Amino acid sequence: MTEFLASDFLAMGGHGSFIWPAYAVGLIVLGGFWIASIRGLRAKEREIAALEKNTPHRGHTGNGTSS
Amino acid sequence: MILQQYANPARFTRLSDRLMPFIAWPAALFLAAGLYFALFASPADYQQGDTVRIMYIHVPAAWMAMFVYTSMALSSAVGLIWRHPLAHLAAQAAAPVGAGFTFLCLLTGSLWGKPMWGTWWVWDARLTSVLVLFFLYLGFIALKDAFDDPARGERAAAILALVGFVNVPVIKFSVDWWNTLHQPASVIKMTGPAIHSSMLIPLLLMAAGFTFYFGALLLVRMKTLMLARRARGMAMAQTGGHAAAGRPGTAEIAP
Repeated sequence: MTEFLASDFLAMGGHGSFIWPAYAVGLIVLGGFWIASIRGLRAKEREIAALEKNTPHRGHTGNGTSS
Repeated sequence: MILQQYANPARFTRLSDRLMPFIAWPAALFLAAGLYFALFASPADYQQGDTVRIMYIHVPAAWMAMFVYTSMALSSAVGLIWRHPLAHLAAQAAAPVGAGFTFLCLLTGSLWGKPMWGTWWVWDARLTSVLVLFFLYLGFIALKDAFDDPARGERAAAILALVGFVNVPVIKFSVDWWNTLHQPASVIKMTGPAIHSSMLIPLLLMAAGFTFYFGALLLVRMKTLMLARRARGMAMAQTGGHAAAGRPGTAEIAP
């Protein structure tokens, strides 16, 4: 067994400058979509909550969105 | 009809909230395991060296690009034919994510092409047809917002999704139909995978992770679009205007 060297691992056989950007873009795209989508959902939930406060009549609580 | 039951936005939201942990957790676990195998526990290729590790992002992204488009075309068809209220919504929630996967596929392909082919880009059949897929996604997104009447935009975009579906088999078989620089299929082929298990395992783990990730994201984004529709209806009702009649999720709010 050869010893694990962080510098060898990062070098990726001399192709590190292609491999790491590929993984970085993967992380940015997947992470970015997740964060943006969760934020979008929270913003809409706040909007609905604010609108519900201004609505005088009730009777549609069974919408499953605010509990 | 089971399908009609989930046409009810409230019921769909309840169901998706209950399903969420069973989709989001597998996504995280598959991606973590996939990354471990992709970066640590898999060998370098005898020809391509360590650049083969780009495959574990590139190929799942490419599969998802085609899978998401196919789902989008299917739900657009359901929306056009049966007018199921959630069908167009699902396609609209999926489109930007599909564009993201296609972008990721193109970019990682470029980063793989440079060291292995000596070029970032070549106008061959596989690469060009995937670029066309990317533009189809962008066209879908642009078209649905291009009309004052959202229902018309929805239909126009759905028709584009259906027409553009012809591109999906072209992508799949482009490496067989034309001489391309891109290598032919090595996993999904009649004679079984032509790839060693040490590389197939991380590839399938990442593909499973990407698929569950897409499922979780789709539910979040569909819920957001439903809430947006409700908020529009509520705002209209409050300002005394007419809530968009016949739009799902708004009619029940109208006074």
